[in-house]
Amino acid sequence: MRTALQQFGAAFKAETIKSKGTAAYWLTYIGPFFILLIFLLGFYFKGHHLLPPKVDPWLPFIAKIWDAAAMVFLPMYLILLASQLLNLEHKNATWRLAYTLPYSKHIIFWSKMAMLFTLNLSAHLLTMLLTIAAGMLLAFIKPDLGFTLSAIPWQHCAALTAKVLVCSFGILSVYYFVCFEIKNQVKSMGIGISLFIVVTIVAGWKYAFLIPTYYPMVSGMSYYKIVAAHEPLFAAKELITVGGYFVLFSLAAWYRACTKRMAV
Amino acid sequence: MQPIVELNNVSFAYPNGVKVLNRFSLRIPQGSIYGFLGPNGSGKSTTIRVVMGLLKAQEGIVTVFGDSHSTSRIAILSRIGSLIDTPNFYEHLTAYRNLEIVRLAHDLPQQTIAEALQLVGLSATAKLKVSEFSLGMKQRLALAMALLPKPELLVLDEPSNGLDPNGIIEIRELLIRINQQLGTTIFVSSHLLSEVEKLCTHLSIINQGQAVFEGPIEQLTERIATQKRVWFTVGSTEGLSSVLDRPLEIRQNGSIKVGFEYTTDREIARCNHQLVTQGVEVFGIHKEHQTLEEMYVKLLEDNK
Repeated sequence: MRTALQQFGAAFKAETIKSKGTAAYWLTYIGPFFILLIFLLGFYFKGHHLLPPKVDPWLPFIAKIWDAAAMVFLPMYLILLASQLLNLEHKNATWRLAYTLPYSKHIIFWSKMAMLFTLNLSAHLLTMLLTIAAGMLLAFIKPDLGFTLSAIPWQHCAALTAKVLVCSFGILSVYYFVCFEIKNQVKSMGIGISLFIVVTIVAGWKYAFLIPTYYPMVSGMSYYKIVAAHEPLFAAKELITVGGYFVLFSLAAWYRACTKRMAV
Repeated sequence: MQPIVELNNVSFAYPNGVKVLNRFSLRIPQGSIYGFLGPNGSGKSTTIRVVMGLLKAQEGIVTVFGDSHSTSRIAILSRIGSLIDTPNFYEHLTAYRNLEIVRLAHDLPQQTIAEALQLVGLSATAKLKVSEFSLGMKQRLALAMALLPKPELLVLDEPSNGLDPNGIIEIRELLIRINQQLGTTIFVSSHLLSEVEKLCTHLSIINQGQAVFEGPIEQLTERIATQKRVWFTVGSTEGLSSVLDRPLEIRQNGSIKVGFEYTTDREIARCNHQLVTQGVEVFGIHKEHQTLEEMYVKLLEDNK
């Protein structure tokens, strides 16, 4: 009998195979190229208007890209990622296959969850690497923007990636639960898009932070302010809200994965 | 010998209250090809799901390889290959990749995939996406996925669905071969009575969640052999019951037909002689043998 870790390794490998060729996979590995291409063109043609004059351009450059990426692209990406990965099983009615293979139900749940977070992590890392690459390219093709005058701020890059990534954990767990429970992809995506729209409407409301899409959407924007004000990377309220959603919905989905009649 | 699968007085009802299995019992002997027959909605698929641990029986005992799913789920599933209901695949992947997913779960060597594909005649299409497969090819692939771990128990729900007559014969021969060569126990549900008759060593017939028949297939064929019927076309029914001292069935549809069960041809000759001697005109004699299909229908009717 294989250990739980060996089972997890095999199930995770199977999840990797399943995810290949899905829209979630392409969005993760092609999406960042598309986003960065848009920004690269924007900074190439309008860089002097977009960047503050006579200042190290790296941090404003990175913060501007991630502000827009977190506000617009990230919510849509997370909705599509969760709905694609879970709908793969609903659409093909392959839960029945998954539940008749010799894996524990916990392994079935956690391997899929791990795949979801791995793709999310990959998208974040790739976006940051491409952001840096775009800055380096601008240094070469548009030297007057000043990218050659200072070093790449690796620490800020790592911190900003970590902030946006961690802020996405709560909503990703919510989407996982929703897409796990709802077979209809249109319905599950509808719920995700509604949460996204609600935040854009009530962003100024004092309790808007309780909406699970709030923190991931403002995470890119808030980083620049945090650096300017010398505040810690994560506020307590932010960690409690994001962590609360993450724990609550992960546990709920885990419980349902072990008890729901998935394969009937 | 302990049966591979044993269901003892199992009951199951869905949340809407519909009771699908009602104190249903079944024993699948090791090494058998066990056919499972029943009309639509009789509880066949539910029984298969209970055996596979996808559904939990509310009453009764379910053991597979002598263990229960609640205590030995992974150990049980690692010894079973299954094809439940319609075959389910990751359609965006190739046949090879679908088999790879099963291979990883069972921790098997890589070459088992090529062997399984060859076994079902899909080697040439291994790199094709499943979405491009015909129904028959999908059925073969599903069978390859079930056979991949060389299981001790093969659970197949309608494996001949979507196959042409040649395909049906090939699959039948394949199942018989793996049963004889590898000793694999096969639990197969089917609507094709003739297939069941040719393939299976044992049979269970289920109707409205209850067992109607269970046993070696010879037991049923013996019953068929003993329940033979003969029809006499006669001129009138007058005095028939005094001449033929046995339960009679009379049909008057243009001509008058008198039917009764018999065991030997000599018995028919004797009855004919008695009728003619007593002045009853006999216009014709017709022997009727019950087929498996008729026996199946009769068993279901008796159970209503």
